[in-house]
Amino acid sequence: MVLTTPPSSSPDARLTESAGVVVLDHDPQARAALERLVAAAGMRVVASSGVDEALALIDGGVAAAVLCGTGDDRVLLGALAHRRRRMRPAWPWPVLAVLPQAAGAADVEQAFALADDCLQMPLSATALGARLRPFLRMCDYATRTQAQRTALRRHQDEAEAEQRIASHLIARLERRDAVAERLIQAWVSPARHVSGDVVAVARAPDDRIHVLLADGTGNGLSAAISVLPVSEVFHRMTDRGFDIASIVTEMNRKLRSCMPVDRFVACVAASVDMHGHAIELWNGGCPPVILLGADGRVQRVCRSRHMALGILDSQQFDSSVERCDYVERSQLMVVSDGLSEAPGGDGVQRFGDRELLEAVRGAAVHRLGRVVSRLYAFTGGRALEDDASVLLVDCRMAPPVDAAPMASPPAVEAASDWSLELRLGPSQLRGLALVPLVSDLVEQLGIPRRLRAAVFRVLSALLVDALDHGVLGLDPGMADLPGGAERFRVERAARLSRLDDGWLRIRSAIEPSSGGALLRLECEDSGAGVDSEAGDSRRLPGKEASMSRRGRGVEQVRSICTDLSVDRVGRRVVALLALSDPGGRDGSSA
Amino acid sequence: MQTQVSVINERARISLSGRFDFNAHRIFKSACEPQIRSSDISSIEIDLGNVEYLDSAALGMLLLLRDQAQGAHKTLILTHCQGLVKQILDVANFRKLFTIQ
Repeated sequence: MVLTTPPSSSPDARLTESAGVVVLDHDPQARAALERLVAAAGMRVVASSGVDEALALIDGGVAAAVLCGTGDDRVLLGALAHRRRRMRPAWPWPVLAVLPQAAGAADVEQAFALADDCLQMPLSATALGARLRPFLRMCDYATRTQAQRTALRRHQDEAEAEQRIASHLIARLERRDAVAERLIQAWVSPARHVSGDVVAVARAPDDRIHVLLADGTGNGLSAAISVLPVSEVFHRMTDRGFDIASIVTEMNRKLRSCMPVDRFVACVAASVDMHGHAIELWNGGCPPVILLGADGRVQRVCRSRHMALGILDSQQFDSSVERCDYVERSQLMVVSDGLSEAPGGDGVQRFGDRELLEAVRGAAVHRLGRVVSRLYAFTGGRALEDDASVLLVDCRMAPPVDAAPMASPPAVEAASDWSLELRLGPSQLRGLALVPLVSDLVEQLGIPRRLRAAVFRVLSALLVDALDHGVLGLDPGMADLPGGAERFRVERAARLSRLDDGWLRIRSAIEPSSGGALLRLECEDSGAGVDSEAGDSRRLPGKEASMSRRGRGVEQVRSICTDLSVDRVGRRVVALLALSDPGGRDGSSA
Repeated sequence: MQTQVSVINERARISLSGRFDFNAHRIFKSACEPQIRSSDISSIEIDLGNVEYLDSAALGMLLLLRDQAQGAHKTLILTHCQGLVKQILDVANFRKLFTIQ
């Protein structure tokens, strides 16, 4: 808010500029004499032909006082006083009566009943100025106060309107997914009307649960505006199956491109894979994220390893995620700094990790309530200085299924004769995001909703495997070595950027079978494959020779396929998925 | 928050004390801007030794100052970071962008 003040100058000079004086008198000669006196006193004279015009000039802010000559009668003064009373002026503009030299005490008393002050002729310019200035100064202050009050009211109205819009936008971005929401408990406490902390959860096409805690710079509306693009990117890219590294990269790019230098968003974005019982997590500028065991003890601490979103350019930005496995009844806890740095009743101690870990110890039930209660006890019930939030995510051993009974999926015609074939060359592989491509394919093929997760998982596993280990020739064992995940990521990015040869082919069709329709997904790549005659040193026990070239992803989806086979040279993988769910196997769990 | 500015051999030291948060925006700006503009200053030191607390708005102010210092070809260092202030800068990973002593 900017409240403007008049340019600095001497008070008297300001008065003469801002507050004109209207002079009224029945006698033109007497009026002219008074006008000369006003001018000689250093004030601006505003010409007026009568009471009506004088009042209009006052009402319009042109003049701030009326000097009324009374002559032989007080008709003019009486009319002025009467009209002023009826006007209920916004500020107390004064009327000064000028009495003739011959006026007696009774005249003065009657004039005082109608005017704010009385002056008697003969009158010097100095005396007139001395009497008028206090009134004009008061009017000047009253005018400025009124203007500031108006500006404040306008600012308040604007702020309320902006908050309504921000709340509306945030609410629209908070998409609801009943299944995902069953897995989280969240508490968000805004320091002002609108929270700069946003907590979100979304379900990826392969049933991974993505969670987000974003904390914009400062609090209130400006912080809320910062997190809006983050929330939008989170939902949009999760829906299309992007991984956490890709999502935070896009969030950073978007914020960096549209926000000022001093605006950023501290953020935790995590993906919980309930098929693989693993978490991928990116923490930029937030307090440590803690993986809790069933008894509330700390299993793992993931500290902030990155700068907040919106600070670094795309070249400097590091999207590498931290990975960890979890066991049954684990819970992931994410908090914002408004909670961990909340001051205690003494104003010095901070809530911090110690209080937080005391609160979460014990069974998961009521854990969120215990954290909030402990926080309020610690702060002595004082209002928090910053937006504060807590997010707890249940890490289950299998993804939950939709609670609402699904309508029977439309029968997929065994006789459907559609098929598709897609061949991607080096330029497509370098520039095309494979995972959303898969997501879009699955969406467009008309696969029943409950089978989409399985189809998405299989197709994306086949594609990623073919690209990473086939076309790019990366060793699947590399990622399992200490520090290997990061080396794998770097090497993958390097090889992909240099890729100028190779291809990847996807084929898909519906196949009839005695048990119902099958979806055939086939992926072939231009990689070297393996020499099945010579065997391979990376051969996995119990697997075909050709499987030794495959990464873990393909093995992980084997169990949800009706059949999965790899050709002898390990360049072509064919997966069959049951579409008509003959035996209750719907592919929604591994 | 209060600021104190001293200049020794082309280095301006801006010592801050108290709470460094959104409310300190104007005072921080008025302490820093003359140093950014001055052609006699080649280095700016922000002494955080007496800062009790800094919030994300303060981190934003430091980022803005860094941007301005880079534009004016001046070096910027943060000194005497300790206790809670050091923790907050560590969580924000500001060591990746700032010289912190």
